[in-house]
Amino acid sequence: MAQHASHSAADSFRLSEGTFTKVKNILLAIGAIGWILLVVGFFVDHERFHHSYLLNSVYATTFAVGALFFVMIQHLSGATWSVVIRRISECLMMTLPLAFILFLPNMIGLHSLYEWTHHDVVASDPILSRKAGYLNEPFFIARTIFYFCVWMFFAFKLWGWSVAQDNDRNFSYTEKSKNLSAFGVLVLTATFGLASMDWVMSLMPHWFSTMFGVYMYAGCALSFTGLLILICLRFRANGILANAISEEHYHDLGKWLFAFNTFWAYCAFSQYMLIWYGNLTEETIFFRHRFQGSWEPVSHLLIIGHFFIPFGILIARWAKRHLMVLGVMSAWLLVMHYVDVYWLVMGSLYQDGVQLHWLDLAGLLAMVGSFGYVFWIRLAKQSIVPVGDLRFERSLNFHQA
Amino acid sequence: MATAHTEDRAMVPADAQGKPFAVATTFYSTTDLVDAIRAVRKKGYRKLDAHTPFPVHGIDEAMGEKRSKLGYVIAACGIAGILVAQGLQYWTAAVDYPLIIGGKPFYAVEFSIPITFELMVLLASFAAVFGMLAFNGLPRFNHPVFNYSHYARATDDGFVLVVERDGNHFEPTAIVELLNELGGDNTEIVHEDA
Repeated sequence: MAQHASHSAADSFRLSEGTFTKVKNILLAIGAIGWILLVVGFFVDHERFHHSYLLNSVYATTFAVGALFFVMIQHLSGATWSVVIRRISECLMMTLPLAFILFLPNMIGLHSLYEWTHHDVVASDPILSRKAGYLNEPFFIARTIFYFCVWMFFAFKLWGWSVAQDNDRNFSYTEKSKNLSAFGVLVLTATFGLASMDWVMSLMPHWFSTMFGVYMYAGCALSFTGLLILICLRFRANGILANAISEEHYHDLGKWLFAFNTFWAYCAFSQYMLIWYGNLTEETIFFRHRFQGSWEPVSHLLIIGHFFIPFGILIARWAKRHLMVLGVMSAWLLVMHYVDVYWLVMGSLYQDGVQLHWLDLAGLLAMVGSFGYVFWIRLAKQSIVPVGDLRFERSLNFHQA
Repeated sequence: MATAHTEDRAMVPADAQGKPFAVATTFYSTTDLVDAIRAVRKKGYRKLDAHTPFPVHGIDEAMGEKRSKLGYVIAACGIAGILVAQGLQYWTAAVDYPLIIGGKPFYAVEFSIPITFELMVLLASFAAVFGMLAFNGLPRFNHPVFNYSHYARATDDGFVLVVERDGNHFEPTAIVELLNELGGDNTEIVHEDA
């Protein structure tokens, strides 16, 4: 307690001008390259543009949703340890408006993406015509707008209170955030489940799985944690919050990473095993071609690379406290999460086999640049830790029990 | 000093006590306690225990507490659970009494996982609970440290440091002197029950 106090006094809680400009320029450059390539791709190969764009916009959105989930859970549990990293999470959460704007191009490509938008196919298909009441373009677009508006409502509320608390240190904001999060986490879980069914599951409109939303939700929480660890580690390497975010905090972040990776595998297996056991044609179609041809090694990569390797390494206490190991595992899991989303999206669109395309990379660059830029601008505008939170000092001195 | 605890243990004659178990003392701040622990360890005493009303940061490190071996026991039992579950399912369903059920294979990894998972968790949690009890020497009905007359303060406002007997060589009076020098209050030689 007392003997550890004020060891972070050396840290500045603002980004320096030089760091801010340097990173901003790098992100702008990445974004510019990505967007130029995307625009070229849009005219060269309209179909493939939409396929790659959906993949990358879904991938990017999972981080923003994961951030909102993380912030809500921290409020809800009244966690002290995470207060020092809450502002960074909130800035990631506040990329939701951008996620919304960047999701809109998908709406003009529905015809290239979703089989259920083809009226002739739907008319001759008894299953799809029964689903047409839900899976139709106006309702689909309305739902997507609704999901983002709901998420942005919670994000803006929590953000506003958190920043306001920086100035007046009013404890009532903590209480308000907690109360809103209790309701919000339920709404977020339900709406994101529906969103993932709309955006990804309906790529194979005959197929259905009630586990699908949870599966992608686990991916959100996992990938966000990995990104948060990487951001903190980059900060540390450049002397930003190097004392404030200690090994003790990384240890807890490592636990999150481990827990949600295990939870992801739990959901993935639960979904797979029930389908395997039921052995019903309309359910097994999802996995059949994913265990054939060039998709088969991708499926195996997910089982081993996404679950077993990180599980075996991160289960150890030392690995969660070893910043190098933790950083490598975080980066690895971000790659694996991309493979996972690729497997979900492209696995439905290209059932004959994996077809890599330069537009996949272009879309990724555009998303990294845009989301990174918005995150970075937001972070620089105020203090990078919630200095007004009454638990802040305790969070700095947090130790594992 | 030796009779201080007899008030609440009236049934036991005052002189009925066992051999010295430890020397106990009370501090009134965490810093004093942690400093004292360091000083006592420097003198070569290794078998220490600290009783505090709330968790004190840095105390494990000062006491030189090693990481518990419990995790390895849990891991071993978890792996044993995996092996037992796999062996049980394979042997009963595919070797000893094969039955065709629902057109499924006699044995398949897919359906064996839930039972494997459950048995792994079951044996690992048994190891965690009972291993923790065993490592702590629990359950037991009493502990000699309760014979320290001011022990109750460890649940209130005192930080009790106990230097236990380590082997047969034990010079309680020297320890009493040392603890008093370090600022300990109500320093006592604590005896085992008769």
